[in-house]
Amino acid sequence: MSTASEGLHARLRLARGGFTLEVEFATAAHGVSALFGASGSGKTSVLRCIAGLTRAQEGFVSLGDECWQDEARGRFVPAHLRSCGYVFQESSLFAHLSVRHNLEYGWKRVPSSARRVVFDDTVELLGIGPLLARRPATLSGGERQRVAMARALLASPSLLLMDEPLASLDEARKGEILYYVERLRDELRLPIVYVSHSIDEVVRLADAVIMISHGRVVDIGPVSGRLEGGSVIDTRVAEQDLAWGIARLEFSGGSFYAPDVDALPGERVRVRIRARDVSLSLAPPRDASFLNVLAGTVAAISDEPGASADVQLDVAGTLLIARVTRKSIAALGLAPGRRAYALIKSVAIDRTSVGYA
Amino acid sequence: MRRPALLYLIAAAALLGLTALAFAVGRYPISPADLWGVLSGDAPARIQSVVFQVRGPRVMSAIVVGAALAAAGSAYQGMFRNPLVSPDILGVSTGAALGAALAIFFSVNTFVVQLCAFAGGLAAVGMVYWIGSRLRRHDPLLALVLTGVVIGTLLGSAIALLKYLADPYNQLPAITYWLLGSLASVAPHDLMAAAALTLLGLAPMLLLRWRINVLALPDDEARSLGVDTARLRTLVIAAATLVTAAAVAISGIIGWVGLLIPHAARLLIGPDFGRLLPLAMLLGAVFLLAVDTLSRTLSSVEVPPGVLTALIGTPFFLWLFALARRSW
Repeated sequence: MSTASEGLHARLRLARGGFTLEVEFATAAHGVSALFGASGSGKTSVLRCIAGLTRAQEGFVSLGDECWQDEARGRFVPAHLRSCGYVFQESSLFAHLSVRHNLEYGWKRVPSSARRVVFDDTVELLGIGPLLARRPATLSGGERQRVAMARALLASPSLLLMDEPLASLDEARKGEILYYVERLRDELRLPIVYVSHSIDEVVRLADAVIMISHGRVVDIGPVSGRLEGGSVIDTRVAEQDLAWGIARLEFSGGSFYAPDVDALPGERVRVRIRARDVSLSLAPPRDASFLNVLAGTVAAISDEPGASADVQLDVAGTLLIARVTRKSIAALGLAPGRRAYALIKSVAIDRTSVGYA
Repeated sequence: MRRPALLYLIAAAALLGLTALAFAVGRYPISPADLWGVLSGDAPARIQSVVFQVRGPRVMSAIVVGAALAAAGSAYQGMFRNPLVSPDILGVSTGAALGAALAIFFSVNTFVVQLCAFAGGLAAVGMVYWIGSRLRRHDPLLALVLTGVVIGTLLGSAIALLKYLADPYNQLPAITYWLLGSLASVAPHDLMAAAALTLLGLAPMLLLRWRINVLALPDDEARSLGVDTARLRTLVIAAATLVTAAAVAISGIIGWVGLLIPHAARLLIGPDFGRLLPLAMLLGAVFLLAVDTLSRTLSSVEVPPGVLTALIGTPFFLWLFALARRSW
């Protein structure tokens, strides 16, 4: 991973009505940084300020050694001069033009000497080759968004901003798009800032997460272990049991089974296991339906008000979080250092929790 | 996509045929043989003078004004993403009318009336644009349109005041006549000036046709695709205003052409501005030439073309409106 100075650096202050946005963060030179937070937390405003669509009253935005905004020196590069692609929640395409001609709008604007992408490669990367001759009206929501992503990329941006590009899609389409966003992340050497309020999306896609709440950055860093309510484990597909439709996923602390994993043996996938789907036991269960039993040591127990708590279980170096009631913690006598077994229902690990790592 | 070449061909053929017809009919009919004689240069002097001095400027100005209004309307409808927008939306016609009414009120000659109309049109749009772009808290297009409506109303009141104050035997009919629009008294040199200004305004529209399409996208998306929408809008407004003001200055206010023709052209050829503009201009020329020819042959007293365009335009427009709205 490169140093932060080669990526995006943003420091923004924007007061509007009763809402104040005040954030500062830096991203790596490539990979996905997720801006994660609830609706109304200011994620989209941050993205708009980076793109120059909104001018932060005080701010500094730079990408690598290119400075896009520095209010201290009165510098503000307008949106149309920033080399950043923007994928909106719902993108508009020209209804009267074919997909190919829609794509050429961003493409033709860039002088050929300044192009950083190849038309056909981008089309192939997003799997829209078969759609080129079609009219936007005949595309599904997912296809439209893929075309919109391609259009943004064909303008040869040095930064890609995505504002909840899956928000208007149904669950099945979301999976389809996520696959392509993963391909962008893996094949393009450019930073992507991805706005989302979905933990599943962030876990699948992001390398780093910037958590925003009420216009402030509350946490920033690698995704693993950062998102509350669950744990993220990088695994490798050990085998696919086609007879039962489940895959065995290996990680440093052992292996577990997950249903309907869309990956081949040997491929690396990242799995998110929600804390409330993990039960704890002092002994391995017998005659129970749990397929996944992982032995570990209690590392920590969260101290928060309420009836339940998060128990961190160290499974050979991988942290697994279980959300259990305080009553259970007391009944089992759980405390840091205590051996325990994590029990995970395989069906709790669904498709949307599994992504390419 | 329909075949644009065929549409252009039909429209151009219609314009050519109609032009010949317009030269032939009128108070002094000219036979096709004589018309051919004029073209080949061996027609009687009297016929030559009817064609070149009387009918020529009028026919040509109908073509120029019709094409100009349709071009400006096409640009505005694309830019405002609204098929119900006419070139008058930012007050160019009302401004021109006020300029003309003022000039008539102070009893100056025809040339100064035209000049004042032209300047009034530019000034009105300039004022609307200046105020509209200062209302930064609002969507820029909405601010422009609302400012245009408000300023238009204000200028309309000023015109009403001038009509009230004007000499009822001399000035008032002149103002009213100007406001109704007419191509009857266009002199050749007026026409040349208007045609030159129209070409000047058309040039940026043609050169920017590809980008003008991008204005149909939401502002944020167009900007993120690298288009300076604010500057582009200013350019389009300036070009369309120039074209409209030049036309209105010689013809007075002839409504409906700039609203109806771009809309009809878009139904025929689709919204791509590069294709739409030539067709709209051809159809605008055909339409106004037909209306003007009707207005001078229908009865012994000329029917103002603005009245005829409204008579034809209103039902046609309602019919278009009742049809499904095409996507942009």
